[in-house]
Amino acid sequence: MNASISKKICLIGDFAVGKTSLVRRFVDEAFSDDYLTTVGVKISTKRVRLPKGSEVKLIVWDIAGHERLSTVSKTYLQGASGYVLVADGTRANTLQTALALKAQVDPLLHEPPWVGLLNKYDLEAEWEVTATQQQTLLKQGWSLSSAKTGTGVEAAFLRLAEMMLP
Amino acid sequence: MSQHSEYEELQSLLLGNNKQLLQALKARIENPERRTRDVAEVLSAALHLAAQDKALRTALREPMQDAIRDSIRRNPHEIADLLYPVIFPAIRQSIEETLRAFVERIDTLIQQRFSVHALKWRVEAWRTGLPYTEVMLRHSIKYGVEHLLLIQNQSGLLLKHVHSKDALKTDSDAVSAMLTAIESFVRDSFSNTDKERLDRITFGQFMIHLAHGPHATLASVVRGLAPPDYLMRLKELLEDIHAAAAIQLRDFNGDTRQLDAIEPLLQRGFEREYVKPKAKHAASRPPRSLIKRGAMVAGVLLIGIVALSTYRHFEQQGIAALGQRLDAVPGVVVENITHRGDHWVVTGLRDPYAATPEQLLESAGKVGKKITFNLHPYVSLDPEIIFKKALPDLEIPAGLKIATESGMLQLSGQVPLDWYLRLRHTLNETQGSPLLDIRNLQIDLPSAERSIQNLLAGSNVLVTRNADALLVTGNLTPDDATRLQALIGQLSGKLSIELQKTAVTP
Ligand SMILES: Nc1nc2c(ncn2[C@@H]2O[C@H](COP(=O)(O)OP(=O)(O)OP(=O)(O)O)[C@@H](O)[C@H]2O)c(=O)[nH]1
Ligand SMILES: [Mg+2]
Repeated sequence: MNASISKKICLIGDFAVGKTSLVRRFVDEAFSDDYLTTVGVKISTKRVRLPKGSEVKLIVWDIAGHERLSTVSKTYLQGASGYVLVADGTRANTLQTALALKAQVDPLLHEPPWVGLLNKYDLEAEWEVTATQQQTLLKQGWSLSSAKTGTGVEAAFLRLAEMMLP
Repeated sequence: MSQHSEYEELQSLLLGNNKQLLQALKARIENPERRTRDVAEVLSAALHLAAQDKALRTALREPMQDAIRDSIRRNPHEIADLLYPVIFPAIRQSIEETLRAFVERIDTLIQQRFSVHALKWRVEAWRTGLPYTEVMLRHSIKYGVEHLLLIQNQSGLLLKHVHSKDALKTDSDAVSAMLTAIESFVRDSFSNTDKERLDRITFGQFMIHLAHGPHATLASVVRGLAPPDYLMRLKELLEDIHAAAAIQLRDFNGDTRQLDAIEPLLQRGFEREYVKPKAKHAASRPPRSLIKRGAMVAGVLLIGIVALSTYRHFEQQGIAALGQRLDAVPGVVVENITHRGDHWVVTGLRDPYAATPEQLLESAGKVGKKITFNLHPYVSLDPEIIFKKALPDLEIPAGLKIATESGMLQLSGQVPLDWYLRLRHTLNETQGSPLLDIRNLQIDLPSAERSIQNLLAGSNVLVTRNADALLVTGNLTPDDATRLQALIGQLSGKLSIELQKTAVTP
């Protein structure tokens, strides 16, 4: 019973942006090229130690990708202390979806801490999100990640955990 | 007429030979047989193409359904044969499950027919006026609570978790979240009111009971079949928890220490509901309150039951002790002891070098009934058995300790001198054997004193003990002197023998 603090976080974003892959990279340090769409929600847990020394157990709710929030996913979001918003750099429209989802989630959860991830950075050559767009997004709480190589994944979850702990 | 032929002429002028072609086509269309053949040629490709559209499915649905229904009605056996491999295993599994539960319950009932429980239930039936069988059945339903999870509504965060000692380990935080997700999913998918809630989930031999409160849900993972009113009791427990800590439940922020205060409450509910799935020896010991109550109720019948159950109790204990005693014999492993007719059958394993069944019977002691052994041969790694295999001619003296370490037999303890000499003789007088370590072996002084006195019986000497050495005083015959010298050489390092005022006289 060393980490007696647990926090619920959710992963939100369009279909196939890499939510499940990011969780898998973070929790199991593994990756697969296969795409198995999430049905409903998948829950994983991971204990993290923050640089300040405190420990927290993250209860990660990986919610199935949607363009808009369904009633069920709204229920899944309840009680989350923070969320990870994911977009796929190779498909600019997933960024639009992410921003629309954010606008729905924020009032629902009373503007909780969040981090944005522009994922699939290993495919940078195929990116549709332009360099200038990236510059703006990086200033607004987004960062670059690749579930495939692991770049930026753990750091993002840790950053979110730090923001959530009072 | 001429007009007609003019037209024909024009036609043949315009179309040339195609006229014949047209006629051939016409014949082909008008001939139903030809037409059927033509369609058949392209039918599968056409169906394939049409199947990409939903319309075909819709169009086919009804006639297909009708056709299948018709076919089943006309020829049910064929369909049954086709489905047999699919349905039969499912049915069999379901029957097996039911029978297993049934047998298990009957088993308990029979086991407890003469137990102290029976006495308790008779008292309860007499006190409540319920039929005895009902009381008995109510108490004999076997179930055990493995986990109790208190879960915050909506967030699905685990507030508190208690579990039985032998419960399977799980990531209770994930279970708690997943239960909440399942609950939301089911509710949002199949119900449009908030009143309908998921309250039971079955999984193999587990049933998860869910009691819902305003701020928290209490999930109980039960192995076996809980009584029908179990959920009600779970709800009462949850109400108590809400009464004690409603605010903390609502405002929980992830720090479980805030809720330490309700742990005893949860624990109590947990322990109260926990019924040991297998009534072992401990369970058959009568509780104190029961003895008191039993004493109040007089009657030949009850005394009979008490006597019988006590007898049973002692018998059970005797058998358990027998099992332990036999199991402790080196080279013997007892798997179980069953009751067959008027004797006990001991099943297990026995190394051929271990005690014989006759010897085992002696060490079994009195158990009231005949014992038969059903022991299969096996190779034991018990040090004593290994010793017996290495040195089959030597018995094992009382003071000898045998151990195995890194492939070596280690002998230690105090052994009689004669035995030590025989051991050395068997080991061919060497300083030891590569597989036998006798460095820690000691010679028992009193036995050595006696042996040497006997050895030198022909001489006029006295053998005495002096601390850890032996003293020999007196006159030795030349023969004895040689013998003693040889012995001293043999025992150097193990036992020192000093000669004092000894003279050799022929
Ligand atoms: N190259 C590359 N591929 C990735 C990356 N992350 C995910 N993918 C691939 O993208 C596909 C979709 O990934 P998922 O993690 O299943 O996506 P998701 O967001 O969980 O999808 P839904 O569950 O349907 O909402 C899979 O084939 C992954 O292998 C990444 O960083 N780089
Ligand atoms: Mg997914």
